[in-house]
Amino acid sequence: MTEAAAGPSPLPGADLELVAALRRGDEAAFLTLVERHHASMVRVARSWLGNQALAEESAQEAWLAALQGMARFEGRSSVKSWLFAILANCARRRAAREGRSVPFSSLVPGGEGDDPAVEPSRFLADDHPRWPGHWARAPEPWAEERLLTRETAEAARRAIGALPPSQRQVITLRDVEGLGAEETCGVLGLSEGNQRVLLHRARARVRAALERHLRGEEEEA
Amino acid sequence: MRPPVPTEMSCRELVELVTAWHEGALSMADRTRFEMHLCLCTGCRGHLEQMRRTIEVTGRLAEADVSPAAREDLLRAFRDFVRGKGGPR
Amino acid sequence: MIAWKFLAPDARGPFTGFRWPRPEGGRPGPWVSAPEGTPWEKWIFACRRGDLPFWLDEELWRAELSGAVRESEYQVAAARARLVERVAAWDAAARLAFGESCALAARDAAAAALEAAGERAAAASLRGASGLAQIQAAAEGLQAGAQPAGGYVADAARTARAGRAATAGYAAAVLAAAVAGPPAAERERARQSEWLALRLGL
Repeated sequence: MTEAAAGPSPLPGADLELVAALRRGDEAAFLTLVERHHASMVRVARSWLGNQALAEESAQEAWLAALQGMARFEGRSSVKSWLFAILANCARRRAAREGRSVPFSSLVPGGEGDDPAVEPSRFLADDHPRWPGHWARAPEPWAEERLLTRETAEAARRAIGALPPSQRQVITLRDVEGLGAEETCGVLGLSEGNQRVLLHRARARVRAALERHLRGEEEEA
Repeated sequence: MRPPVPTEMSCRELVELVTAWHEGALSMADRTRFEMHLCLCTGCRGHLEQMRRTIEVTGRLAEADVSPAAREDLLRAFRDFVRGKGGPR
Repeated sequence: MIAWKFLAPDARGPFTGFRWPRPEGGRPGPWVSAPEGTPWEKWIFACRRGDLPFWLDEELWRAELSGAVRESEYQVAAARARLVERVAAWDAAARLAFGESCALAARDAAAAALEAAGERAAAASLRGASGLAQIQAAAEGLQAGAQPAGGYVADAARTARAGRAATAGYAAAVLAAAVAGPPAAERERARQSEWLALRLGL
């Protein structure tokens, strides 16, 4: 029943073969893995560290650590989530060296605003005689062409950038990078329930931002 | 005798359950209420469609290119590693 | 076991988008199975006659279920099913007619309740209207003393006219419960099931 669209990703089996080739010192295999995953790793590290330079350094360190540890990789998780788990450790170490804390190891969802997914004013009040809590005004359909524009992508990017860190991290792994729920929980050290709440809130905010963008409204400060 | 009108789910309640439903995390009872409500509510179907499209837009944000400089650095690191010069700093 | 499935256009599951393989050349479609060991919550769901009003959608199909069938309050589940035949009689005209039957039932239930409550003028106004447009107008013209019944009748008529069969059915059931308690809503849903069975030859 999951309708979430995964980002473009190669078949898991193909990645595993590349890791096997990597163990044999195959340079082409390494470059292929880099092409597939490096940009994502930088992006994800950026969502954790909030800093492009630190993110790039963490990603570089993660590749080295992956090479050093690849003999231990058993293929039980996807290569992507294995890389992200290594990346998480590198990001933590890098952040500690810089005197920063990476805000994902001790998340407490709920501390970042328990806003409802949709503004309450969109629904009929609880004292409505017939339909309390039903839509006061139905959501409008979104024009497909407008969803495909660069401006819309930018609006989504800005909305994700503006999210509280824990929500940003979850939506980046799940919806931008296409990781599954279990993998995301593993990388971020979250329970399934917490991960779901964060994803729900993140998606709700991005949806609301897209709605405002499509209506030509001002962005929220 | 079953309840003639299934325990009401308002639209306001449904929008809070959308993600849990997508993930297959609702109890069977809640899932039934959720899906029955979708049958009769165009507003909620519209909301679900917006959520689906939001996820699609987000999914397109991943670009696949690596900067040439990064590629060079990584290739050098790989060659060093293979030659046995790589190691923890 | 024979049961029914409401599907979105092109025989797609309304919630999963799953494209059901269709019957061809007068023979049932291929069997679709949930993988071995799948819990019943992830099986294939279908309707008994009494469940139909709750699941209305664009296409109605007769389906055959195989193996263990688990019965729930509003649906049945099986690990293995196939589509047997499209119920062609469930078309746009049928949806309009179903909605109309619900709006009329809502009108009658509201009028009876208003009479019992002494709101004779309101009841007469509803009973005097013929056709959905008039019923909607009459219902919308009712005053505070005739609420919420009047509002529900207007909702039922308006949604019925728009072809929104499931919503009209829902409004009629909720009205029945509001004016005469849960057993009345159960009877309205049973009426809806019988209407469908008769009209569609189920």
